[in-house]
Amino acid sequence: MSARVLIAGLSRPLGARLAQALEADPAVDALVGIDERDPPLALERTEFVRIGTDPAALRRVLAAARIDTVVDARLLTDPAEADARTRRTVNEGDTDALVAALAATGVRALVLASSAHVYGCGAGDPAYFEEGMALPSGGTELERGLRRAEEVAGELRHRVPGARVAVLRLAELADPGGPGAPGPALARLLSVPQVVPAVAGFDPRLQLLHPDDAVAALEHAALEPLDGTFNVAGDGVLPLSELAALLDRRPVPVLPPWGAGIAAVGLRRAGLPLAPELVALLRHGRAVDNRRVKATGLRLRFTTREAALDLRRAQRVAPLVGGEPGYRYDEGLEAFLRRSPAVLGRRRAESVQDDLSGG
Amino acid sequence: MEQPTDPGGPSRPATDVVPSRPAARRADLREHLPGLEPERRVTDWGRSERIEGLVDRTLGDALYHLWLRVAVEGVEHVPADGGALLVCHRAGATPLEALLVAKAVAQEHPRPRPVVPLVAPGALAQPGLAMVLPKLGAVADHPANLRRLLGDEGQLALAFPEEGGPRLLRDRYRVRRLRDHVLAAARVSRAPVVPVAVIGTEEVTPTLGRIPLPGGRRLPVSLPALLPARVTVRFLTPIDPGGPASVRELADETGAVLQRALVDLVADRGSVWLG
Repeated sequence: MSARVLIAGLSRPLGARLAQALEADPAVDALVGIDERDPPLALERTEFVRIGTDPAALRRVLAAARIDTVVDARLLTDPAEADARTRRTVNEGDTDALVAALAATGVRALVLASSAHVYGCGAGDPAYFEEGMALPSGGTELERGLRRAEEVAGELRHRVPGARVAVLRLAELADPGGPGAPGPALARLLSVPQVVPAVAGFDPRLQLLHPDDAVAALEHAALEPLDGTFNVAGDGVLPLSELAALLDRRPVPVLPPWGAGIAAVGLRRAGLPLAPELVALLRHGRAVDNRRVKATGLRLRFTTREAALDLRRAQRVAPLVGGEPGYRYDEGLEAFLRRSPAVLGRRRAESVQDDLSGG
Repeated sequence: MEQPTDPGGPSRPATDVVPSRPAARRADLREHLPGLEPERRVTDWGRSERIEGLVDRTLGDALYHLWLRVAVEGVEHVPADGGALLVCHRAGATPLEALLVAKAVAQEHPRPRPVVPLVAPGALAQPGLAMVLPKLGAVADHPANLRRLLGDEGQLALAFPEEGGPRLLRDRYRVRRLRDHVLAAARVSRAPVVPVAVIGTEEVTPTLGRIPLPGGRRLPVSLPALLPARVTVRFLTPIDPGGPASVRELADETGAVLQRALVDLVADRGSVWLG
């Protein structure tokens, strides 16, 4: 089965890593990425087009490259990542535009990287959220925006007959971040030196998702006929105290049990990523039931505990590898690598050699 | 425990993506329940063997053997495996029964297993309690939690579904109407309902009065000490949750069985304190 894939949000950490993963798959015939900023990683054969979600340009790209599968890795799902206005533009406005373009060109598969934040976080929550549970209508602006994006994505089923829409609700990523990309809020909180900020009197149950597994889940959803909503999280749920112990840190109650939201404002000034969603998470915790996505054949390689241990490893080696110059996108260089007869000729020779030695 | 293995492996084509029937789906998903890694000190529900063991060895042992001299009857009615819902009445001002019933299963049952006490979600939202109760094994009595505990994981849960708060001493051993949402979950999961009658605890921590709190709740007033009454825990014959015509009838039947057992126990009891 071959696929012609477009990744919206190529320059986001997940989008870029997904492109790297899909490049290695011979079943992917065409791989196009769109974003407004330069891709952060070196890509081999992904075609980068610098457009946002301008419907006319997007429609032309979709039609010209005969795209059949779109992975939307563009949503701003992290509570500490952007301001409310940017988030509304990207999560709601741009999703509308994207889905409209897909409907106009008849793309029949959409994969949306959403977040477990759609479930909200409160006192009466179940210990494990399941995909079929009714979502709350209130909540923070981030939660409402993500729910709206999921709804709009789901409408593609009605607008294109036979279309499939896979919505992946990803748990908190245990992504240490890198130069220029600070990493998601919870991982940043777990990377504060020596301590883990906590709410006094609470020890929330938390779940982590390893970034490799998040990428694997997106790849799985893009290439397999997944349709519906799927929670993606590492197996196992850990209380904050045990997570802190795994990371050689101590939970320190910097937030009072009452008025934590107000106290968080001050701590945000001091640089902690204590967005309201994160304060709620530190109080009540959240876990999702990941059995449904596992039943579709996805193998998650990291449990929550293993994701935490890998985060610790990354934290430890960060001072050793942090200063290295990163990748910088250069249009002329990329064009040379992709289209120069010299490079293509060598590649052709290699593939012939592979065929000879393989056969 | 070992990780559940997926028979198909990663290369299995995902054709069974959205099975339509919910009943079949839940059963299929059961094999994908995560196992507990051996290095873990706390279960996925938040229960800590270390803290629970500490409480059990100190407070639990002292109360169970020395102070309250617990007698256990009918422990064979607790199923040795599979999900089951223990239903107990509330008595006294403290959740002492939860400790004693869990310990009774641990001490007397031929195949001891952990008992998961169900608590109101409100209790788990209180600072302090939110930290301690899950460590001792308590889980909020949310229907989804019960479905997972009883139906999927086959655990033993203990519920106190009586309406209202702690009753006054003069109303002791009178079972009030049972709320049915917990029993509804047992019915959905086809988990047998085992009524558990406990006498003695009303005298251990008698509720002498109740102070109205803002928000309609009332704070029970009790003695500052546990009185040394003798406690008897009687596990009764399991009730098939699918037997009665409705959940309401199941709740009423469970309540009636509990009430009859309590009347018997009180009638046959000799001294409240001695023996």
